[in-house]
Amino acid sequence: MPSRQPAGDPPSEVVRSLEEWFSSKGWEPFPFQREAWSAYLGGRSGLVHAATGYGKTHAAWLGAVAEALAAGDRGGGGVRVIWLTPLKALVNDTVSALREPVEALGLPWTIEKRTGDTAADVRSRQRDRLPDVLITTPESLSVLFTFANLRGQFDTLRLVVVDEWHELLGSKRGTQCELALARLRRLKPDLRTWALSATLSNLDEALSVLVGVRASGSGLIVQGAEKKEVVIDALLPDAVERFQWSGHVGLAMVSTVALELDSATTALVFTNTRSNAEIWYRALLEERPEWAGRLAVHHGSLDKATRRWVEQALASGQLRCVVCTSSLDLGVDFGPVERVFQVGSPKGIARLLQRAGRSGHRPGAVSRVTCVPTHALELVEFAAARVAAGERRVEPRELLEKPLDVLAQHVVTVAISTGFRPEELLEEVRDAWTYRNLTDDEWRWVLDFCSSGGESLRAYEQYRRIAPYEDGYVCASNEVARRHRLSIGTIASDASMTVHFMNGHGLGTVEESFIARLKAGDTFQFGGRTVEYLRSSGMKAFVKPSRAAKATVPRWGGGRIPLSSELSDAMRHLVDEARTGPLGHVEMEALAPILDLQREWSVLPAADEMLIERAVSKDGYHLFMFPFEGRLVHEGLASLVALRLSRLQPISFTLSYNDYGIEFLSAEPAPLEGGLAAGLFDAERLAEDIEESINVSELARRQFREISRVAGLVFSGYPGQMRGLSQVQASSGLLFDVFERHDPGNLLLVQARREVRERQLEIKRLERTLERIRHARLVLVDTPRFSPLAFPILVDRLSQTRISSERLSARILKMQVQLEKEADRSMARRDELEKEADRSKAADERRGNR
Amino acid sequence: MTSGLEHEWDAGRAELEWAGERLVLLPERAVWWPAARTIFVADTHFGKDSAFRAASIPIPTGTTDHDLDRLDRVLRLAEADRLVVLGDFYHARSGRSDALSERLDAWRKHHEALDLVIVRGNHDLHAGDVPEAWSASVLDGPAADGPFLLAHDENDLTAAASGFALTGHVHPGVRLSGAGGTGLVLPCFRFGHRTAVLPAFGSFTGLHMVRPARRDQVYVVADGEVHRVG
Repeated sequence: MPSRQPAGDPPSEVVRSLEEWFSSKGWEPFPFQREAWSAYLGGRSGLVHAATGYGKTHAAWLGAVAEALAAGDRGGGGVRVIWLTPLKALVNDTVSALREPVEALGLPWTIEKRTGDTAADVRSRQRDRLPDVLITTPESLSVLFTFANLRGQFDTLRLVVVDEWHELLGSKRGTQCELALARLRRLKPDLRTWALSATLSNLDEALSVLVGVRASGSGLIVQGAEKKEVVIDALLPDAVERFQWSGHVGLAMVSTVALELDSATTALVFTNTRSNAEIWYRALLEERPEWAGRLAVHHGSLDKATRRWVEQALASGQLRCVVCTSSLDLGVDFGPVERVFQVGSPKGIARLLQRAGRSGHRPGAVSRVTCVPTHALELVEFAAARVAAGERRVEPRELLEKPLDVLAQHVVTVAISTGFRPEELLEEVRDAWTYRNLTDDEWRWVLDFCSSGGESLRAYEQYRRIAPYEDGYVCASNEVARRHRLSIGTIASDASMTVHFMNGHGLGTVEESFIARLKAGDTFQFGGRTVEYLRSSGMKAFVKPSRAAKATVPRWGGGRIPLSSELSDAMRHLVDEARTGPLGHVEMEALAPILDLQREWSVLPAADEMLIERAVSKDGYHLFMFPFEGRLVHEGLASLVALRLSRLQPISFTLSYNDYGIEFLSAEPAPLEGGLAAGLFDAERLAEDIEESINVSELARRQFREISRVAGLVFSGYPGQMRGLSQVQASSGLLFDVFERHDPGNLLLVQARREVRERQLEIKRLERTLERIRHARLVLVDTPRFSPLAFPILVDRLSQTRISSERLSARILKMQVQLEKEADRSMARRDELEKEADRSKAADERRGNR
Repeated sequence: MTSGLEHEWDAGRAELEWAGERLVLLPERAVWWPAARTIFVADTHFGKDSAFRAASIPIPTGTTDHDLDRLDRVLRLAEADRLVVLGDFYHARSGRSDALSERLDAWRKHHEALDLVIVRGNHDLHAGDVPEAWSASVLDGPAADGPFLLAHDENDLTAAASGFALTGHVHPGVRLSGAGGTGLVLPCFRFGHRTAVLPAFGSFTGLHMVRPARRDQVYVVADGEVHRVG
């Protein structure tokens, strides 16, 4: 048995017992694991940065185990370690991973999980007494704070570990987590915090966010010893000239992918959208009917039990292939996956590396991801991703700027837990990196918002959530506390309906707007099955299995991710290289015929150039620009440029864009030369011009959905027994309108606008893009026909006529009003597969005609 | 017959003949029946904001004043003698704060001569009736009013009741889709063969998407104007 020695100085025999346990497993500790243990034992916090499968968990965990062994800790009396994980699905795996060494080394610690799914009796027991080690989510930890009697249970806390830190960073859940850490540091000033992170480029920032402002200089970054070898390759279409130039489903490659899958024991096929996962699942099954039962689909809208089953079946080797979305990005350790495929654009390098890491999930093994193009130009993206990944040019996680909705939620949480003195809580909050620049006015506003409503002079009558008590604040009532606990959580969920069989068996969720378009007897594909819609009741849609051969695929919302700066930059350089030098990548060689066409009809732009093409068709005058900056920046840039051009002469534009470029379509030629002379790409008055060109207010109204949930204005996911709530439910859009009219200074509205600018319009990236364009050489080409770069924008057409100063009523009169009446509904439905087929056909015809 | 309303809102309103009567649809989400000098509104939901505040949800004050101002304007311009509220005058009992009562009492006093008819809606059953002192006719629908039947909820109508029903309850809205895929959701009036549904008058009320039948006449309210869309 270990002798008793003070913590921080473990006897060599304790460390030796760790080493022995390692060798009993046939392993040897990596140097970075030893480094993390000794830093922890020396009282430091830190960030462990290593690839998946490299023993990050042991690096963060065993230091605390060694310390407890050295101190002869027998457990009990309070929580020692809190282990936070962003994903409930990771909790079970974590429990077993943490238990194994503890049991082998004879440390009598209780290790328990706590999530929304934990049984009521266990949760109730935990509310009185916490286990020695608690594995939970950020939301559940915040809920624990609201139980005042647990306060003493944190006195024994030594370590908080945050798993998958890169996932939380830059999100409101991450911010919630930060505030929780700041709170715990206040309760336990010598608390050590460690985070585990995969691929991340802004490590220093990630560390500061983890340890807080005061300790930001003292944390340690522990780098995983080995660089994991990652292979990024691509499946090439047989004849690139015949391959489609546009599209995003890529079914033309199904048989090629199936051939590759033939020789793989287990594989993941990642798609970019849930709809595409459904489509690919069905297409693969049609290609290989004999795989029925060994092929599955996995995405975030499927029922939890179904997803869990798929994960387990994959781990146990029952499945040979799972078609999935980002739902399987995170670190569920399903052991050996032999091959990983990425269908369509990888969008970002970190994302592709994360997905690649699902294969070769062992130290020393090679991770490999094979990219599958959905249109020809994606081949450039694949080669660019390989170049950038090789140079470890990975996207940083953009941090949030003091979101006040999360802070308002936290203030109520603290009021419930212990009450607070404003100046003390402010100091604590400002220790959280995200709120380090919180102004006194903003803090005052949050307090007022929680206590009296609007600004102090215009208090909302009858309202209070927290109430003054002695020299601080406490929660206003038990009812407030009860409701607050239920509404803690910051992940916004769309208005979605659950899909059930008649026997009640749940399949998952789908957006209300999709169900609203169905009528009884319509079939759709869901979770790989074809089902027939029967009827809806409340927020439930009932279906039955169907044998129909053709079925609609639901479209789920959720923003499409734009191409990252790092990837688009790498792409521009590859195109540059292709102008003169050898192509150097198989993907580029395969693409040579199309690159030649681009060169023949237009030019291949150099990295310091921006290509502008003009063409004329029966539709009108087309102006194309190719900044290669991702669709969000292009959306903002398109509106901005159109607005500025329209100031020179009366003109209206139809705008389209994709990740590579923008199309301006107009009935008369656009005054481009005049525009350039007048500073088309100037950064001056950018904010004002953006406000004028884009309906920021409407976007902010939509953004308010998440904010109003976080700030506790709307509730969802309440258990049925919460009576009396139906009369205080309002949509976030309605609330937005009421605030705009009656309390326009409300900072949550300001936040909604800022979130739109930063997240939806990527305003900072837009500024950088304008800067780059101003310094670039503009190459203007009048093309005889649409170039290979221009064509996809034309066909994919995410059109929006944006430049319009007309009043709403005038717009209505102008719109071809299509009121969806009962008899015309079937017209409104579009089958994704059919659309894709049409697209490829159109593409083929166009190319055949030239 | 001419009144101020005729001149002031030439552009903003829509007219139709229904049940043999001329009706004017107003952008304030009200219906004017000139022949009877009557204004119809539905679903005012007074006190909804205070019900939220009483439940610790921060909602600014001001919606009551805003709605009463709109009501004043309609009554004044139409020179109406009579106001019919087609149900859900109040939102909830918990919203009937002292401040709200004071404000509404003052409003009623200001319109002393106004003949006020309130059809009880489902919310009123819980929230209670307006004070006795208001001397309003509070009744359960459906009730006859000339060629019309007054009711809160279309489903309250029985086969036996004959007439052209004016109702509320639904807070109807329609989704319009135009070129470019830009969708627009707007409150609407829906006039069917024998039943009409009015939009909710209260400004702190949501919309429920309705699917008009082929023969329905649908009018949307947008930007201070009423437009027929189907």
